[in-house]
Amino acid sequence: MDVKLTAEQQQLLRSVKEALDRHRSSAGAVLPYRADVAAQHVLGDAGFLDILEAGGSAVEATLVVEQAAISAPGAPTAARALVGPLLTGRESLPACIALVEGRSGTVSRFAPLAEAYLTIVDDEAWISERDQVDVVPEASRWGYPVGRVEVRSGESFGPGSGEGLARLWRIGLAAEAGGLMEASTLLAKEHAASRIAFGRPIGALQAIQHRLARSFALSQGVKWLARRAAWAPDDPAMAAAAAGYAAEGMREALSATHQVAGAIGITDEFGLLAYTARMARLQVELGGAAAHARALARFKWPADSPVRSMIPFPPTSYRPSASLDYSETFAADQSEVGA
Amino acid sequence: MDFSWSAEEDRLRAELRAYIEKTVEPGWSHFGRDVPTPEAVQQVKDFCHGLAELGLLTPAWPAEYGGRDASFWEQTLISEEIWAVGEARGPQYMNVNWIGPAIMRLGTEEQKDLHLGAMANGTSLWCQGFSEPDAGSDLSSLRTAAVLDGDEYVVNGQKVWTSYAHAADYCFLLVRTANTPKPRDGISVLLVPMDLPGIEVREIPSLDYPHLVHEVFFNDVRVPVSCRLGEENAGWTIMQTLLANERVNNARHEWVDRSLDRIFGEAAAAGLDTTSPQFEESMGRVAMRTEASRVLNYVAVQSASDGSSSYSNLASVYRVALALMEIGLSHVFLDVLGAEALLETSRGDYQLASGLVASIGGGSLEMALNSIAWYQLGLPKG
Repeated sequence: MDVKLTAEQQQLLRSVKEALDRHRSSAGAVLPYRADVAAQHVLGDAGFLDILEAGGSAVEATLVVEQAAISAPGAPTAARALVGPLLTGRESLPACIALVEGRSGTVSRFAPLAEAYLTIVDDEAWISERDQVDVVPEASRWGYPVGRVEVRSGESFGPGSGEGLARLWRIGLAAEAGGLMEASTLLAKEHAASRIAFGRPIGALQAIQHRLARSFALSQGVKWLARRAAWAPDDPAMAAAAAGYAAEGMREALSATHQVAGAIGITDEFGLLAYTARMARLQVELGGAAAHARALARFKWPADSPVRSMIPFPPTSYRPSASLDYSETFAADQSEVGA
Repeated sequence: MDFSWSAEEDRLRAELRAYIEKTVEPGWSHFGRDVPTPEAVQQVKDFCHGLAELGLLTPAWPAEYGGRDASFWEQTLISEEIWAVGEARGPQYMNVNWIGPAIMRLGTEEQKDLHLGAMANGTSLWCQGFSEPDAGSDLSSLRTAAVLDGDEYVVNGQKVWTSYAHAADYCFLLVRTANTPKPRDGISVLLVPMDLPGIEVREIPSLDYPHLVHEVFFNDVRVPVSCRLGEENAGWTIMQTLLANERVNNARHEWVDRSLDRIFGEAAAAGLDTTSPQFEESMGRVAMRTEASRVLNYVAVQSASDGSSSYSNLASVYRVALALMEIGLSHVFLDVLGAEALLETSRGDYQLASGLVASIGGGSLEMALNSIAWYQLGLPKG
């Protein structure tokens, strides 16, 4: 086992960051409810979206998603760099792909802009072109352009393929969440370190420190679970664990970072919403933490698992009952109540 | 990045499982870890001695000290398998993970000869004398005094919340050897035989749970200077490294994983529907935390293996994940089994007690959060 990033993987993270930082310094940040299509093209032009085709692994694709969430949080990277290529095996996919939870009327991120749609229809995964779906845009301030998608036709990847789409979707979701959580925590930390109240930085207060520290610890758990899941992308339990931990963690990080940032945190100017508005949306994706947890339980303990019919051993003699006689306690209690 | 175990590590895991199957009684319930009876003391010594004979007690130690120069990962694997059955090494996990390595690094030849062989052979039990009535998380304020008198220190003071003190052969004792402007600059480490005159151990009744914690009194205890580990007044620096070692490779995720398995049996015995969405959600939420704790332990172990400067920060991040996992397991027992979980026949009974302690012992959750805030995020100390 060697769980550190390789030198090439560390360089990949730096390269994605540098490319997106250059873009951002000239183009500026996008609003927290818009897609960053320009950033997606920057990633595409540099070859990062095709990293799987270039021989990279799901781990490398996940790292691209993670870093893009930090440096260009509105870019539709996960579906294009990770989910689409691994699911379809296709070499030429459009830059913007929407992931759709059901055939009829579900609210989907990037739907109004997408050129392709990957949809879970019962237990099958479908891919549809733009002219095979109907999209009704919906107004939402939370992270992404969204719309209701009606899938009229498409190509199925066969029975059971829906689980594969959900599995890869969960890995991408967790990678994106890990980047967003870390970036939002570090931004809130900058505010806490510089905002003076009662004569000192509010970041010197333990109540503030602990919220940020918990948020940071959760972000690291999410990042590493996403990487772990990507290392074995065929393992549905690990993907569900990563997505579920991400959904729970995003809820806490969203609350913590805004509480620390105070009123300035809800302004477009400060930049926190660039991350947190997207966390608000991602935490409910694919049914949210509860659905991920149920999925994990079903993968970890399938119906035929021997654990489900396991008879537990009784506790051993080390229990206090071996040395304590509760009958005396009962007798004393009965005596006091006059029984 | 590679999360796979090697073929040799898989073989070793199988060998270890066979040994555990043969030597640890079915249902060994983890209460034994606190060695509450003389039989339990002997049981963990026998278990560890058998491990030592198989080369599985201290494999990552250098060969000259009774190890095999094996990787940190082998030690991690062993920790996982033994935690899965409730840490049948008893207190000896401390010897393996941090007391022994500290003596290797800082001990005299005499100390190495005296202690490392016994540890590698699985025959010595240790306790750690850190907390005091007025020094817990604020460890630098400890007051147990060691005053030099010839070639001996005369130790007076009191330690508290000391696990394993009733059974320990030695204590890894923090004492004040100087009153300095910065309290942390006057602390030393003594390796104290627990049978010295003047040491008194008293059990503190807790949770109807025998020998969970103790207080240890030192009354004019004469400890040879040769028992001091490292330089005088260098104790704080030693502890900074050790406490991080104490936190990692504490593979409680395996215990939690097996406890989740056990809930199925207990729930079925109680006539509950283990296929309901509510049941599955409760179980899955803890299983997520288990995987997070597992992977963050691996990340911290990797950092230790590489000698990385980020090791201490990663250990704190792992500490937080571990506490959240333990608390989550306590909750799921209660949520799923209700009052059944509080009967002695349920592992929930143990877990509720364990969960309360899990975010206190081995460095509190709050201290880990402080460390992340100060050293990882760079926030100012208040």
